[in-house]
Amino acid sequence: MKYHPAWIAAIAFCLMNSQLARAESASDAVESVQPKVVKIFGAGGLKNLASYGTGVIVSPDGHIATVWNHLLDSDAVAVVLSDGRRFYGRVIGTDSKKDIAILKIDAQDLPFFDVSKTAQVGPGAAILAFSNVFKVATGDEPVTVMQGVISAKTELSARRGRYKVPYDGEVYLVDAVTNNPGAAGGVLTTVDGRLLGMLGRELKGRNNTWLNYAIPFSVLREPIEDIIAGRFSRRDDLLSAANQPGETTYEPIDFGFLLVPDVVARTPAYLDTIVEESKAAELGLQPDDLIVFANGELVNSIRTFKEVLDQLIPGDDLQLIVRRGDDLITVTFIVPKK
Amino acid sequence: MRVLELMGFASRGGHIVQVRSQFSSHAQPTSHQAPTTLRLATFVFVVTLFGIAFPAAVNAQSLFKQEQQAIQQAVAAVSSSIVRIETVGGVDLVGEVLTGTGPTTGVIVSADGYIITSSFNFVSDPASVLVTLIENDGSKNYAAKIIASDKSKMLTLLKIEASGLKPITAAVKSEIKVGQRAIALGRTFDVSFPNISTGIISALNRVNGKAIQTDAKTSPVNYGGPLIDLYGRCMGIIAPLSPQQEGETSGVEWYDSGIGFAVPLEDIQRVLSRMTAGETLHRGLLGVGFESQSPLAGEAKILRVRPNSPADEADLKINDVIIKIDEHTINRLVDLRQILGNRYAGETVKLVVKRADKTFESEAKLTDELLAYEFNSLGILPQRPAIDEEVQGVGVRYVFENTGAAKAGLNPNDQIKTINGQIVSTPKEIATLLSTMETGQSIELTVTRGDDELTLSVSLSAMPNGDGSTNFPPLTIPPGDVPKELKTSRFNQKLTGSDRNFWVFVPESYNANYGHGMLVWIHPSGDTMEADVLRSWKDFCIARGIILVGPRAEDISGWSATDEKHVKDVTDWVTENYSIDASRIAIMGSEDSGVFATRLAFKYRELFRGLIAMESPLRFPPPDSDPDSRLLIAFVAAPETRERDRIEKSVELLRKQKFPTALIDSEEAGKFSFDLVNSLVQWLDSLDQL
Repeated sequence: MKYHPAWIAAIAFCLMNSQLARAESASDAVESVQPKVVKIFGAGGLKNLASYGTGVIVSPDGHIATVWNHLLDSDAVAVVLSDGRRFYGRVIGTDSKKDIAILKIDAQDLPFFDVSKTAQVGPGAAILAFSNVFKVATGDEPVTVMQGVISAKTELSARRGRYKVPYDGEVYLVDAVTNNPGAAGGVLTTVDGRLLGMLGRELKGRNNTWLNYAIPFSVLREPIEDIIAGRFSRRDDLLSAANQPGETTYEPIDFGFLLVPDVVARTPAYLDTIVEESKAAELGLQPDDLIVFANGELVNSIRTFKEVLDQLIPGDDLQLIVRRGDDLITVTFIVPKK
Repeated sequence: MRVLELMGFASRGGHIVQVRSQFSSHAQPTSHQAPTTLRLATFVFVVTLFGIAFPAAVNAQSLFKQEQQAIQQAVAAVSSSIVRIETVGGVDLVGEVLTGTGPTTGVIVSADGYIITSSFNFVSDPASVLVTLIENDGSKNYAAKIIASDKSKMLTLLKIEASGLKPITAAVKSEIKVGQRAIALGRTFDVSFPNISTGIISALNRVNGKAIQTDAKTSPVNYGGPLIDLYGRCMGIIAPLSPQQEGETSGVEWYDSGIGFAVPLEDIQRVLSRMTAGETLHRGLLGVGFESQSPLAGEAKILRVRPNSPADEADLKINDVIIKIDEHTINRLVDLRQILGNRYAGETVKLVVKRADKTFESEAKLTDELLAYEFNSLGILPQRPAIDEEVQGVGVRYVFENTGAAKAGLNPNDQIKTINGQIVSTPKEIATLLSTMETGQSIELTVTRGDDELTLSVSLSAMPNGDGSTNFPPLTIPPGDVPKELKTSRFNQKLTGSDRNFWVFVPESYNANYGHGMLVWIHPSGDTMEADVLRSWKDFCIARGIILVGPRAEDISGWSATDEKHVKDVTDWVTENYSIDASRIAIMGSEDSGVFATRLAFKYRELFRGLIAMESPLRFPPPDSDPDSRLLIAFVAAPETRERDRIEKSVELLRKQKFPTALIDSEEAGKFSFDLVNSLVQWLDSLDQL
């Protein structure tokens, strides 16, 4: 039987197409990641608190990492694997600083992520995000996958209030709407399925826009390994209390100047008076200079300047950048003893 | 053909040959293009060809990787032209929008330190603006000056004292294609590298021709930053724009929605020299009005020419059709809006105009300000026949004293049949006709009185401010059948899909065959005053056929921007379920809620015809007095209060802007006395005056 060249071409084309399809899609990665992601059901269900979430298996013996949130405020938490098996998990350890909790379920030989092997990528990198966002998956259904790119790698500053997040450190910001109800504890990977980060809470940034962030596993690795190894069961805020600033708080007068009265929410930090023969006078500061940076932090109001002063301890440097007309002038104080 | 999309071409570009030709046109070796990106693009192209020739060589994931690399290199190529902007001081609330304190983004447009950015970044009116620049060895701060702004496209130009900067390269506007890759950049999170959001170009010529649209995520994290292509060329500056509204914060509510806008850099460069000279740019106005506001409207046939406007000076007349502006043919009204939307005051446009069977050319120098439109009036109240009643002409219900109508001898119960020979059959038709005429003009009316037909000449007077106390009797609505499912009297109601209550008072005498007036009561912060309002207004509303509506703020302690839509939805619900006369819908607020009511009346111009602001002076500049959407305003002020002076100034200002504005005295602030409600209800009952 003879093969017409056209047939050969057609077969070659089909082969090529299937190859291309693989090349275009991230299906291999999705297949390998999904069995390692679990659905978690726990406390919540009131107001805007979801009673569902996501976790990632980090050991073959049933250790599951997730975000430490209200979901776990329950005696037992239901964990449903991607194959539909259902387990009760209990919290064996948490690290509030890293905003992470480890659950344990009674299961063996699970597919898992090795948290010691993580990837590092920069802005523009293509990524996949896996989570049970909005509880779309139930039973043996795998969790939702989204694609996007890394928008930025930046520092998240811990904040209080409505959008509380205790974590303070490096995060990936994702150009995809990943952080919706139920997504916390999900996993961010490269398009070839390598581990990047854990999806965080729903959070608003300083620009009043929602942040889609994930904490890198390179940061989470240590607490995960410590908790699994039983090196501690709970790492909480007891130690951090010792680091609270002491009674000595500084006022602008300690540096030899006074600011204009703080009258509105964002009063600019203009110098009002310079005390004669003070350090400020010696450094050449003048009335009407505007403090714009203090120790590298943008001073957009007197309030933020006072926050910087609150963190000072004697012997520190206080570097100020002031605007005078169109010039920026840098001066450095040494924080005096009180 | 994913490969082709990767390359940044429209997904319709189906064949290699076509791509090659497009590719070579892009690859004209201009010195501005980022060479690394270009090389990479060539590389991807070659690899793709290679891959097709040898299928086995296709490496899984390679396409993701290559696209990723192309994006990262394009971003790296423009990174040094993107600056971070930080502001010091400033207000924390602009209107109802809470301004963020985070950094924003700008783009370098000249080597000597001019930076273009979105005006959104300065809405808080900051005391000082700082710019952070990325240089080879790190970042450096500069103090910045605001040089000029573009009020039409909401852009601001900054200047820093620096030299040897790297300005961004503009993409050629005519080569931008829908479907091509677009990367939105900001410098708000990490100073060392821009934050990235990727998407495609979704549309061109949006927002009256001012912007291109993208599905990359735009928000305060990248407003002012560039939207670039895969070659690292800037297609536009990202800005919050809204097709429906103008203002610094309009369009922000659309952030991260998949609908984002960027102002083409090429258009900005066209006017850059005007801006560097410190000139504030305004949208160019021609001064013509059209019959239809609909986007589906046909030819640009002029309904109205504003006196002393550029159109007037260019000798345009009513019923002329504009068929060409410069080299652009105008087939439909929307074409004209797109062309003029992109022009500035001070620019001259060439017009080709069709008048009857002739066409002629003219030139108009666009302006930024038109003389305020002055509403005129005959001085009558029209009758309100039943909806299903067939009437010839428009009946006269009441003739106000000392008006053109009174002087010409028009009487109640006369039927107006024609005005200047044109047959009129509804009050709305008369209103539209009057809007094309000027105060002082003499018009001819034919009216029937009993069996006689008369011709009267009426001189149009300016619309009265409405604060004289004329006692005119109410029109009684005859009782009719009210369907069982329709609620009357006072009741609570929710919108479908919402769990917020609002209250409604419908007079028991409601008759769906007659149009009713409507008053939306915006309660003051912390107190719905529901019982008080109902008690003082109920009898008057029954007498004059007015439906009262009381939406509630989501948080009873105050109205916020998110409540605006709710109030509109509530108003729409009433209009849909009850028979409402569109010319008699008014909104009323007291003290702090008066500000919110004013904002709503100015925002939903097509909806509200009356505004009552009690003890609440104007807090922001009023819009143009627009002949297409008449708005009558009444301020209520008690004597010798703190706000009295400011209210009187507001009245003065609005009258100067030609809004018919009444000042009505009350005995005591915050109290609905019998006399006050009696005056207000008559004012409401005269909203349909002609």
